Amino acid sequence: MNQRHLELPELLATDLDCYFEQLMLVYQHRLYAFALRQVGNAQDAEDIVQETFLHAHHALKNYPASRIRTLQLRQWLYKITVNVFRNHTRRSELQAIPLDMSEDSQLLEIDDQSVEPEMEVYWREWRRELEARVATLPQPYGVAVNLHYFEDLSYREIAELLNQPVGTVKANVHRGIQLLRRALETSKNETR
Amino acid sequence: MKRDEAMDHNDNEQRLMTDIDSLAQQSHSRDGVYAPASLVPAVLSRLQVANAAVQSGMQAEQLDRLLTALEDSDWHVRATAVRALGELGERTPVEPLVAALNDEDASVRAAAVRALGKLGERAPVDRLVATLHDPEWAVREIAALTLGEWGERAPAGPLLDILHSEDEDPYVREAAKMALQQAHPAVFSPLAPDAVMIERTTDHHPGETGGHPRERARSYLTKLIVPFKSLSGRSAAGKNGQEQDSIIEIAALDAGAGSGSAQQQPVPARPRRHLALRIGEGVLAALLIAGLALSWLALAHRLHPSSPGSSSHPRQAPTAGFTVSPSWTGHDVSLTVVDGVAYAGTLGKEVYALRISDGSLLWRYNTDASVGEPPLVVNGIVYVSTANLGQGSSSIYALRAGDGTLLWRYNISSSYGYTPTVVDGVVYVNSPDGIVALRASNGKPLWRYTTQGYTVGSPLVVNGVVYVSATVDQGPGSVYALKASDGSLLWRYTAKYLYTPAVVNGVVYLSEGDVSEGGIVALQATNGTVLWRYALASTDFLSPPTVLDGIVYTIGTKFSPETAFASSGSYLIQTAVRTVPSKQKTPFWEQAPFKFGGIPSVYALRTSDGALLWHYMANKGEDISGSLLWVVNGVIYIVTNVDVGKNYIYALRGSDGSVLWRYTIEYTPSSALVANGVIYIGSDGWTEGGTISALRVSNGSLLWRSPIYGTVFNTPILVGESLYVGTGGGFVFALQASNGSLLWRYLTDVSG
Repeated sequence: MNQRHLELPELLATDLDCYFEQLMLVYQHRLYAFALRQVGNAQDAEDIVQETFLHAHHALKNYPASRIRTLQLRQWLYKITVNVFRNHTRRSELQAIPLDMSEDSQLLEIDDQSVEPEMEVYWREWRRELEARVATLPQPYGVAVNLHYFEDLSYREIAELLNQPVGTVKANVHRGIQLLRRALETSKNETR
Repeated sequence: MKRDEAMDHNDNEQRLMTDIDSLAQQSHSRDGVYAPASLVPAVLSRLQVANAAVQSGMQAEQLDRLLTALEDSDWHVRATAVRALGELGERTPVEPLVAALNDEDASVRAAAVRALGKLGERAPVDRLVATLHDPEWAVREIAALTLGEWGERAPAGPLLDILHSEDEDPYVREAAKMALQQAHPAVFSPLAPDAVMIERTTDHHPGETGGHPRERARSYLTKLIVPFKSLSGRSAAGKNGQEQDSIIEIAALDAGAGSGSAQQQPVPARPRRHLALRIGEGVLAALLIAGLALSWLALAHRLHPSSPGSSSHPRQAPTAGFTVSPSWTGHDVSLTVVDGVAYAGTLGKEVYALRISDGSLLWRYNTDASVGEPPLVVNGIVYVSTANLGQGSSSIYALRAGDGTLLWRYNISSSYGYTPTVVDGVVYVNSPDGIVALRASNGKPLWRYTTQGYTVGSPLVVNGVVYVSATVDQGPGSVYALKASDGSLLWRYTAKYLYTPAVVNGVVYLSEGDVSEGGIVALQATNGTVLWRYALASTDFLSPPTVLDGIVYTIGTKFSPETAFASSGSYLIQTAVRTVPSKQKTPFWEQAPFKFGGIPSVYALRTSDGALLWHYMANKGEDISGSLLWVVNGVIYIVTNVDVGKNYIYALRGSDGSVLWRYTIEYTPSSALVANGVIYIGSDGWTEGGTISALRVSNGSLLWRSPIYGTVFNTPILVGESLYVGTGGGFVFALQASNGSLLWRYLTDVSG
């Protein structure tokens, strides 16, 4: 992480009103890209990031300065974004396009293991196409894949952010990737 | 100073703003996805609209407008109104805020928690505690943080429950931990892994004692005396009759102090060195009152002997006199960093090697006694000093730095730990009655020298000469100069209550402590002849000298029994004199006897002839505590304690003693490092849970402050841009030196 990111909590602790705009300027693009992947349309993504910043502002107003200083802003903002996204999804009843998640799907039997190197290469090639499809994943997998592969958060960071065991996060990332891969291949076969 | 501070602050802000602006320019999704330009202005607009509505309500003192805003369909307006209501002080209505605890939006509920938390006695405690179970983590987090600000009023149980709940959100657990550290520092003790480190107890820390300052001081001292007695009871079988004499005096003080409750309550576990200091304080107080000034001198020396520093041993431990009681449950970690590896010794008998880049464990070694001082690492060997109070055995372990394999072990028949000095393949280590030189490769003794009286500190080796300090109970002390090659005596200088020397440019500088006639003496290193002596007749105690740039600095203290209880502070910090050259390569370590109830002064003498260059006396009223002192780049830093929660750091110009600035800190410093224009101060974990603060050397302004869970006894270690500390809570912390953010932390085994 850029060292200058690390100075922002201190500034926010000192003068929130003065520096909150800086916080938004620093993180708006990342959060927007994250939200866009998650919901799949620009208007919803902007709404989610707006709400995220407002919630963040209220939280920072509530926090003692000592708490602000200890914040890992990026993870913290993702955590709020995920919250907002979940509420947004609940409210708008925005349903992800269901992929094959039936009980007999082999995808559900994937072991909790890290993604194999060759698969990473494969995944990188199809990154953009996959990215556009993150929003179609069921929520637990979409959030985990989005944070891990597109926002570079470690499994441990995601586990803290989502308050889930690391193993669950790993499994969700893995399953999410498998689902995307399968969806993409299906789509290609259909267009041929 | 204020103008400079303001200018510095502005400059800093300017720089940071520029940095952040440029960062914002380049901060984007790596896939080229940009947020619409309308996003940030839209948020700012919504913030302004809500603020304007609420502000107009507040200015017009129209509660109705604010209450109406509570019904707004926009959660953001409701949350802003709740916050504004919380700012009305006496006029803040409770019921609407309690109703807001049931708002459908988490941010509104969180704002209500915060607003209600500010109402003091009017706050509905039960309702607020109930919000610790709110379905949203953000509300539970604020609830925990808010309760933490209530101090003793905050119920510890629910916070402990959160801390112990593995299902709880990590952010909420972290908040509960911060709250407990803030509200109930006395119950915070690292007994469980990682974030969960609490034991249930109702002890209060000393600073919380109410009543008249004098009573608080007495009560505080009485608490300190309890562990001393228990410790002394265990060591009564030892040979130190002086200790037993002192116990009687302390018991008398105890009875007279009238705070019997403190005797019933076991004092919370205190980490090792701190307790030693507090013991010393109790001893000192008792004897001051009893007028037994002479007798405690030797005891103080014995309990807390000073040690030599050596430019060739940058992380030389300060004392050989640490003791470890099996009843202490502190988890102090003593740290050394060498070649990218942090070596941590623990009171839990372990030695850890951690990679400093990420905190990963390289190896771990289990000794059979507590490790109370930082390991010493020389030429690929880790030397670890252990002590086992009550069993009369201590050891030096030599471990291979690469994998922790035991190379050899040398046993010493003593309950004290002895930290070695290693030079040119030879390990010099004191023992109760002398010094032994061991071959570093295999631990075989090369020679021994028997001193008169017990040794003090660690050997100092300079230019092929080993300097050893030894003293006799209530008798004279001596500095022995021995030939490093065979241990033969070159010369010996004897005076009353000698402390360990500094050797610079062929001259040995010594502080002679004597109640009637103290002084600084300069000896020819080759033969021990006196070059000059400066008498400080009005000074009862002198710290070991620090020599830098042709000036000898020392802190002298004139005791005044009538001031002993004048301040409620009564804190006693070890007086340490140390210099850390700007590159932090060779910190010079010295540790002086403690001071109590005296007025500390700083003396600066010319090395060439001992002439007094200047003398700075602390203000009356700042005279209770001991002081920490560093001399860096021509500036001297001292710390004085004024009252509970009030200490001053002074920066004095080294050339003339004039005050450059004074900075007030509310916590008690336990260690410090001055490097690269910054003072890093570790605070007493018992008064605030333990933090590291960074102050700008130029004007004393605070750069950052970070929690580190426990007292930092040893000097923080700066490597590149990272700061490493071992804490009384059993942690090794790696912090970003520029802003105090956590890089990693490692929790040692604290289950024992």
